[in-house]
Amino acid sequence: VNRNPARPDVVQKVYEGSAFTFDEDKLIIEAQYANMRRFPDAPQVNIGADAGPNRARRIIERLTSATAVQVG
Amino acid sequence: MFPLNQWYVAGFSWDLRDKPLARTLLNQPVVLFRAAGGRVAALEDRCCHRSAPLSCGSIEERGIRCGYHGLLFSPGGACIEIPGQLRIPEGACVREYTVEERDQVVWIWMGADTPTERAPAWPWHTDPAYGFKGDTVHYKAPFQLIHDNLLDLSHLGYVHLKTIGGNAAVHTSADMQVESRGDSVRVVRHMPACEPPPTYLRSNFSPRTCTSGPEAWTRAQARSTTPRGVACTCTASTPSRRRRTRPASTSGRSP
Repeated sequence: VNRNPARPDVVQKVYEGSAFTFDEDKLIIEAQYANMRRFPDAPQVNIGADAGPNRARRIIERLTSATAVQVG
Repeated sequence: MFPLNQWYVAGFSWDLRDKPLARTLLNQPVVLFRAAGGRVAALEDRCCHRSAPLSCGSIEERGIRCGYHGLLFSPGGACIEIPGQLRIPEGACVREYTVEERDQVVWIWMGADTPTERAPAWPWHTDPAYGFKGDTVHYKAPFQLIHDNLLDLSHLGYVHLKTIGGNAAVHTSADMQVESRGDSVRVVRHMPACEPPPTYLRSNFSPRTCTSGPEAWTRAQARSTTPRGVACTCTASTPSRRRRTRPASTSGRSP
């Protein structure tokens, strides 16, 4: 909510800031993936910050195998 | 491999005007187009004649015409005209996908089952109380890495120093709670007494507000995501000293 009507440019500023932020992510994620392909069998370690991502991965694995069972 | 019986984002309303849109969704080539009357249609992007991409064709009143030999397909995927002949062979059709356009988002259902619920509402896109603008970013990476990124906000102190990040120690040591709700995951983080990030300073606050002391802000973030790959971010920054009189000075959401 734009609670600052004196600043109608807020939406545009937030949009530009968000676009720049996603570009920052794109840079590191694409470098990460390129490197994963250079080291295809390298093990990875977990840290505390992975709690959310790892939980999401487990949910997707469960739903993926559920679909596979239905199709198969 | 993907969970198939889910709604997925195929695009935004403004992506579909007078030209077909080719998208690879869940590794499947799809052509999306806005049919007569405004309805969005999604078909397998392959003419059933000689496999030319239908996305190279053109939109007409009755459907989409292949750009190679001119076969015309209805929004439902049936071949309804073959130039130069009256007979339409049996089986002349392409696969149709279920689509729902809602709150400026075009959702697609690619599973074999019939959708059991409507596509998700995203009311902030149409609620006049919210400012809304969107865009699309394509990554040369698997979806899982983007998912990981969106659910782990500890990286803000390293990747986003010029935008939404700040002191790395504050970001990595933020109080974090992870909750599951059905098939969704929600990560909530609190960062008391931190500096507002550069994007916030540029966007949301008047210079007068910012002089109240950039070190004395409380920042809260919630990220949640679902199997369909939709991440919702809610952030709030509150000047700590004014908290009792002005509980939230700004908030924003993005898909």
